[in-house]
Amino acid sequence: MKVTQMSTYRSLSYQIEKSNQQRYELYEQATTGKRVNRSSDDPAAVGPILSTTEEIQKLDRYMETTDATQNDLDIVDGHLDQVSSLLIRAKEIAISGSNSSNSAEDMQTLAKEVVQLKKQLLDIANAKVDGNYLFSGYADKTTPFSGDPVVYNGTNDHKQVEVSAGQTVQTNLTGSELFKNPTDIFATIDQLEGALNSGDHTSVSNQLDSIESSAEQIRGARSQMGNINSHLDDVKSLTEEIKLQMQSRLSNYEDADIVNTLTEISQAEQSLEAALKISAQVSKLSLLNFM
Amino acid sequence: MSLLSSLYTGSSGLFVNQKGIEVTGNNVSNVNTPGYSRQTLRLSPSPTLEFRGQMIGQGATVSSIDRETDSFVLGQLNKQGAEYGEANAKTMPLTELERIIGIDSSSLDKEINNFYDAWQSLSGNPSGNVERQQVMQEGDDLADHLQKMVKDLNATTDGINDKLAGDITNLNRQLKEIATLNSQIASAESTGISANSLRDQRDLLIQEVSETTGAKSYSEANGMVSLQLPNGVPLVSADKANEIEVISAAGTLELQVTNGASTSTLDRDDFGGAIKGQLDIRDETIPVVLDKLDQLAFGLANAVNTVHSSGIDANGNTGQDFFSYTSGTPHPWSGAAATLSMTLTNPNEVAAGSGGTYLPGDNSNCLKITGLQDKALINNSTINDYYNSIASDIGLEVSQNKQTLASTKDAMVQLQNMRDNTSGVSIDEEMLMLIQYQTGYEAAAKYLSTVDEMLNTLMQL
Repeated sequence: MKVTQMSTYRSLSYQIEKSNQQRYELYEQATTGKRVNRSSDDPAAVGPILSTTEEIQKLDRYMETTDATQNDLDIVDGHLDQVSSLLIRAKEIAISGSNSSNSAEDMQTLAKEVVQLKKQLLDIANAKVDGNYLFSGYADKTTPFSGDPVVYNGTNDHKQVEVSAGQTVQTNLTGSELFKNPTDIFATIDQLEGALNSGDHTSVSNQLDSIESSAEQIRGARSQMGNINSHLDDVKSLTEEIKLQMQSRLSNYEDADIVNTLTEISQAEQSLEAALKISAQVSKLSLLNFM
Repeated sequence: MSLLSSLYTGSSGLFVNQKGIEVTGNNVSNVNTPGYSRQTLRLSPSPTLEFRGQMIGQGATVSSIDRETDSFVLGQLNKQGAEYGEANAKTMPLTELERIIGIDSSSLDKEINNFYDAWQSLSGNPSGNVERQQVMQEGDDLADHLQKMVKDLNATTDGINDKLAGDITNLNRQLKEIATLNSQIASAESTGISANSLRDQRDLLIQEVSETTGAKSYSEANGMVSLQLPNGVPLVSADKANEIEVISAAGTLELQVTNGASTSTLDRDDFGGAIKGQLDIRDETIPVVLDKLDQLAFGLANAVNTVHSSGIDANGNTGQDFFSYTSGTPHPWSGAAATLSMTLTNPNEVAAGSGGTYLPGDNSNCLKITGLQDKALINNSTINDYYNSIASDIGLEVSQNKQTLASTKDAMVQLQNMRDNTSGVSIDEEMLMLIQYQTGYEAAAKYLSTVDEMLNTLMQL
């Protein structure tokens, strides 16, 4: 085949153009660290990349929700811990008050302490976090407990949040289930106060059972929330694990094998260099040089 | 034969070799001229004369100056040129489409995820003003993003129309030139003059027209060439060019051709080459993407609206539609993406709860909306997956086009080199010819001076 000057330069410039294009693509891969920078780089990978990215964003969202929920649960537990100590103190008072060696004045002193305890209990039951009442169900802008005798103004709703795909957990306890049903803790304290005021040791002693069932009610609620909390630990570690898997999946589809890319870059540079060298040589070889 | 007639024989040698040097000179001058076909000198011996019973030659004569061409390779170049032209014309608009249907962190997919994120945040604090505003903001961003995509797609269509109008103007000029060249070639060749350079010009123009339109050329007996679109509509016949008209109608652009008494509208199937490439993107790829975006907007808006309007907002009212759109023809979803907008004006209008009365801690509607992300809302796929399939379809089209472009470009380079094999000018070859003719010229001159010496010798007798 006859090789003309035009076809030589055409082939060379085409080769240089192709080399440059390839080199540019490799540089892009190396600088972004990604093998897929636009959908045409690997159309088959677009679906997995986008759905994995979506999945990772969802997992991040679940992690945030889980963290926030655990935080809420810790706050609830802190308050319930105070209620427990308070009930222990009430029990001590009741035991002490049922002892017949106590004088009428002693009983009055104990009764005053019970009034204090009741005030504390009301404060805890009306606790607020970020402007929202903890124990009023959905009505978290409404003071849950008020009046004398104390009545519940909240709702019986449990707030649910999504902590993993399709899985929701309860993040609150209602004032009703904590303080009113089945054992009415406010009424129990009221009765204790009444018994102490009356100076009737037997009557005070009779309150011990309901104080005990009040404490049991709080313990039960704490263990319920504790279970949710420890379940959330599991959820969290599972979510983290899945996220790691998803990230590695994303990386498989999306990321450039950097060692490979760098090797290919040096190959591309070598072939370009060769093409450029040859281009510079071409015009030197001609019959014209020998005429 | 006399010595004097020998002078004539010698002079014919000088003449033909000088002609050879002229032809070589012309070839060398055109070494870089696109479309130039190498010319060669055809020589033949002058008729012999009988002289006293001996047949004696009378020197050499130029029989013709030929143009070296290979009609097979030219035909292949035109055919391949049409495919190259088609792929090349698609490249720019497809790159634009690929950018619009992106997959990076500023894509629609990300906006969709952010929208659901906002609802999830709201579920943690359903009465929070900041969270409510965030939900509205993300809804707004999502709607704006879809609108922007539609605008960008329409701008791509406009760009294609502008380019088409320019291409057609250029094409009509080329068709007229081919028609003119046809008549020039026919009249020149009828008088026996070879029209080499006119034919080179015409071949080059035909190649350009094939690249633009996919037109096929047919040689006629009188040296003329006729050109037809792939659907058979004539573009050039004899010395007449059949121009294509550009009609701007209703925001789009139509191509028409008048053939005899009838005027017909041409669509993408009537063309090949660059015009087909552009019409394919304008009339097929972009409308499909637009339709899918409409379905996406329609599916998303309806699903969110259904849930949102079953909830209750912070004013104690039943939720209103979260998104609004205007659509209708030809499909119920047509036009939804271009008109999608978020309708809420006040954070209190976000319906986070779903009970009969408003309770600030009620987040149940938020959970229903975030749950939509995993529901198959359009053609058995989720909103995200539906977008993913649009993006991978475009990616596939772009990468296929890239491959076609690369392979047709390869083929073009090969074919052009093959054309050069026959028609190209090789400097080395021409230099050899130059030496050859120079030597021939020197020899003829030497012969003449020898005859001259002989005449002198004769004169001195």
